[in-house]
Amino acid sequence: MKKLFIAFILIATTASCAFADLQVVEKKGKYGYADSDGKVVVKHQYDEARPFVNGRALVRQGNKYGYLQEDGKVLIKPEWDFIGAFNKDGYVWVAKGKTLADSKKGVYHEGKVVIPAKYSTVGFFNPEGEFDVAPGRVNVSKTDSKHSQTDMNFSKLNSADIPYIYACGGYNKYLLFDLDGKQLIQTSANLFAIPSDGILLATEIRNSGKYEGNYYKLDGSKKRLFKRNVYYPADEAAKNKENLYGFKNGTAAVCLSDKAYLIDPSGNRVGKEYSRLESGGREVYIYTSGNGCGLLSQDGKEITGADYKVIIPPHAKNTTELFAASNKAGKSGYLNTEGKEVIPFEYEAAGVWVSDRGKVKTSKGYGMINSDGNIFINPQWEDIYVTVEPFDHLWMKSKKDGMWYAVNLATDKVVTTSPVKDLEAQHLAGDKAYVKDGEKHGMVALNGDVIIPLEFENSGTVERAYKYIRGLGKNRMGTTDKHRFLLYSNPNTSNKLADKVPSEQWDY
Amino acid sequence: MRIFKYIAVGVVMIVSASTLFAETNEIETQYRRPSMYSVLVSRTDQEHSAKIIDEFYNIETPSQYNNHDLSIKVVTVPKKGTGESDIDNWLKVNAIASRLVGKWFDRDIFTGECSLDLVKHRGLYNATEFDKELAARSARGIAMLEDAGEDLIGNTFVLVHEASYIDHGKRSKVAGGILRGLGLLAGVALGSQSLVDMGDNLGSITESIKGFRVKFHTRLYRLVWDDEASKIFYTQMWTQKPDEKKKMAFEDGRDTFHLEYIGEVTSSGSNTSFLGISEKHPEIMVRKACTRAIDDNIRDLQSNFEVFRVKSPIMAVRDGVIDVPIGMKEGINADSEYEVLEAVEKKGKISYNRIGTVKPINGKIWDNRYMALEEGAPGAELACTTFKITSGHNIEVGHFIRQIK
Repeated sequence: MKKLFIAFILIATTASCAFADLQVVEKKGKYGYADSDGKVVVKHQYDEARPFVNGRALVRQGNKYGYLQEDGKVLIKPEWDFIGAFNKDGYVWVAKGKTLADSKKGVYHEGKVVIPAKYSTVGFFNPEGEFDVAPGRVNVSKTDSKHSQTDMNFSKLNSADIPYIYACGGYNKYLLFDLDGKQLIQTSANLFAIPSDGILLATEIRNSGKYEGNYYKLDGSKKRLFKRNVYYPADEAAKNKENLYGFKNGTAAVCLSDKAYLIDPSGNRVGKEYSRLESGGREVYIYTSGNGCGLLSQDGKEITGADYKVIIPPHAKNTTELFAASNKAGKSGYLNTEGKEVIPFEYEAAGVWVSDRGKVKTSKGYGMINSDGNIFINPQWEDIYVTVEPFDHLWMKSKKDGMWYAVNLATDKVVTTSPVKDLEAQHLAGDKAYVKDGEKHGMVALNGDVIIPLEFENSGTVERAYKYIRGLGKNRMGTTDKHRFLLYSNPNTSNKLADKVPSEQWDY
Repeated sequence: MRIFKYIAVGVVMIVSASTLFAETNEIETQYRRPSMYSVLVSRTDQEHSAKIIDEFYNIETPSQYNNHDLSIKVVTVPKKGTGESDIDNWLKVNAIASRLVGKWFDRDIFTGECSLDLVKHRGLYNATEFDKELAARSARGIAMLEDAGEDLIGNTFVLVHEASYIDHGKRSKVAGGILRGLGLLAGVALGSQSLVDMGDNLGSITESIKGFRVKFHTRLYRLVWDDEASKIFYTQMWTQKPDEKKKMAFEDGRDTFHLEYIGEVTSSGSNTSFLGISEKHPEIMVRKACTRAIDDNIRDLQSNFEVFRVKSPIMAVRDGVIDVPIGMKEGINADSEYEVLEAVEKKGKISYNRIGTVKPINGKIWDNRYMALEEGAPGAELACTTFKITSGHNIEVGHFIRQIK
């Protein structure tokens, strides 16, 4: 099935109004462009012609695509089997081949070839993370309207933010270019961190389950910072115990099984060696030395001494970054990135800082604290289900009856009239919860009303059941809804033509 | 009398933006469609019957029909030789017609409650107006209900497909070589490079098939919704609240409703190209072969039986041509001919008047068959078929076309 992206057409309409001079015209099945006076500026020669968008128009001659520029002249010659949409910096991918998956791809900047069409994959960096540049990871459609497997849409990326283009030339051949198409590096490593400070961290994932990484200078020298690549286990990398970090503000952290340190862009060590270094978020590291840990700045200066037993970095989604920590006296509180104890260390425990709030424990139970250090949920709970999203309500477990209740965070008032026994997770919208009773799973609203009865085998099925009733425009699953949902989820294919189907297998 | 241009609202926006369509597109528009329930009769003695069943569930209802599937879509037979009477009997014994009616009114099988929401939704009625006219028992309200019956409920079809699996694995490589050679000879004789290319292409296609072919035999039935059926339903079985008596009236009266046999066709089982499909995904090969065969049968049924033909909305009109989002899947070829229809609403009832005729333009026929784009088929990159207006005036976006031949 092919889908019309009305948004694309409407955007094209809106944009074309700003460049309203040339309009598509047709004659005997061929298309060209005419100005507002009707004078043909581009003669009827194309088998397909699109309206102008941001001064460029997609055209097709036979089965080949290209672009025209604002004055009607050819910007990219129609010789491409596949072509994308321009990003805001004027870059577009092109491809030649029988199928998109097997095609060779390149990049144009406006009308100039930047990357020749020799590669199975081309792309820009997604600012949110690393990139696996293995063949076929970028999966784009003809109109560039599908997202890639790594959730990156070429035309939506700002190339100026991370001014590098990556490409895959085949097995064990991964490349990085600058925006002018100058090749900076070729490596067999297929995992690229976002280049920073003129250095690329590239890691190869080995079949043995180990990562092999090194830092590469992007100044044209292709120099590696380490003579020998660094090896570390994939599972330890996942726990951030052994890892190489990309450069940030002039340093990168190297974390091995027995030591950790910072390096500068020349590969020289910066500051001291520690037993462990952990990324503390955008601006600091957490170091471990001897029996304690502290905060370290990115230029290698110790922000605090190793005065804490534990420091937990904040979750990514905060406007203020606070570190939950417990000191050697066993008291917990929160530090800011300057090492100041902004929330006093007077609690029995402090949870990870997320959505600009933290979970703290006193002798009376758990409560919630904000960045001003004010308790806004009275500590009386046995547990609190903290979420990444800043919901208005959180579920909390009562010390009195062990049941879960939803609490309004603005008023500290319980809204649940029918508490639940076992909470699995708060629903993505924050206004429902996945719950269970033994092996049976269901969904309830904040007040405890049942939305999906506790009769399903797992929360995945509960989620599908919820989507099913929402598709019917309903807010709760009735008996008949459940009956039909189960029939559709597990269709019976064993009935014989010769037999009557049992009535319980019918939906109507 | 009011010209029914409901669908024009959703369409005009697109047309004003461009006289052409973005290439990989299917227009989602609101217009009245017939409804379809598809059933597969699967032979358990066939080697790949399980795969065919799996892929049958993944085949979507064609976009020109509303999905009116019931919970049972597959039944089995031990071997070949299913007769028409076996299928007729299954449809009758399982009261399929009544279940289709039940689905139209979203009938709750536990309480008997019914609703007109689906009728209103598929009939594109203004829900508030519909309810008001019905509540007032006005002539217009009754006419709207009758209209819904004729144009919607009475246009509900059942397709029963039987699959035959064919394996020509050992022969396919040889056939590929011959086809390639033939293409070369023809090209040399006629001096045409394109023929050489085509021979090469066909050779590759045959070799890549790996022998999997499937034929479907499809029987077509139609739900009968006449005055008698509708009267019994509305007076004895319809209820908007739980009602045990009306619930049982429906259960005991399921045989009030029946299906009418229309006809049957068999697909050719001809080659399906698997170009563009990785060998790592054989299930997609099966899905493509099955989808193409079923699409072929639906197309042939539409061609052979006027009652099953669908109307397709015109999306663009310019300089003596029109664009419509249908293509080879619907059976369009250079010899096809279509009538142009205008929907007219009078006192709550909709009728369709012919106002012109059109023919497809060669070279502008969309190949919208399943996975034609991945196959690289010519015409697959189009988003619609362009027709030349051969007769008629004032043809506009919002009118429909329907196949004549």
